[in-house]
Amino acid sequence: MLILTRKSGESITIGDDVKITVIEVKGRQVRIGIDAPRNYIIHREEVYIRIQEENKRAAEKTPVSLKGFKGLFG
Amino acid sequence: MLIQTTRFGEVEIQDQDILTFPSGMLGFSAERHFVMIEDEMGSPFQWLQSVERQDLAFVTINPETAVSGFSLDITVDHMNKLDTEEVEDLNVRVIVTMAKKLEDVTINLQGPLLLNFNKKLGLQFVVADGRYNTRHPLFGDRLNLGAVQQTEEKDQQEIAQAG
Repeated sequence: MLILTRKSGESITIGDDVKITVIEVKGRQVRIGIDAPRNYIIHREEVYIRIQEENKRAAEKTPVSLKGFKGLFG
Repeated sequence: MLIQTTRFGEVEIQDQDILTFPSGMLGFSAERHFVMIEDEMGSPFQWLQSVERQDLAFVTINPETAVSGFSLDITVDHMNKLDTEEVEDLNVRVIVTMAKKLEDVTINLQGPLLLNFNKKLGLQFVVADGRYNTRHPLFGDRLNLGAVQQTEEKDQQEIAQAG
């Protein structure tokens, strides 16, 4: 991993079209601004990880058949 | 073409049956092609079987079956990725996480699947705000309803016996 030190108000650029700016550093929290083309989907990592883990759990628990669930929906 | 599946054996599919997820699903980026297989007649479930991996299949359901007023903030980017300009072209399914006990069966409302059946494209949508979670009980209200009905029947029996 590339590690850079930045101060509040400073930025890093990724390629031609992504810019990440440190907006504010306050105690243990950092506010980050991201400029990127609209087709880049950006989310907090923990949301991604939660969905990833649930996908894996769902795949592991997929049964052989759904016969036991018959009749639950009328 | 014929595909091998762990659960359904050999399945004959047509090219036009194949749904492509250009970015895969979260945690399954290598599997990009799936076929939707209807469960038995009258079942609300549909299977999403991987074309690439015979043991990979998800159980899916229309979220409206479990949650009324399910809503997503779909953007132009999502529409572009699914090659459409009409929201009406899109279908939503959610992945079901099965469990031994009915009350433990959950649906992932935070990572619903957006599907364009006309263009055979799909993506896993990420709900960024806290309105939905990944483990919403599928049968929550239904089981309570069942319990109420049973109680009512019992009451009626008791009344009948008393009378």
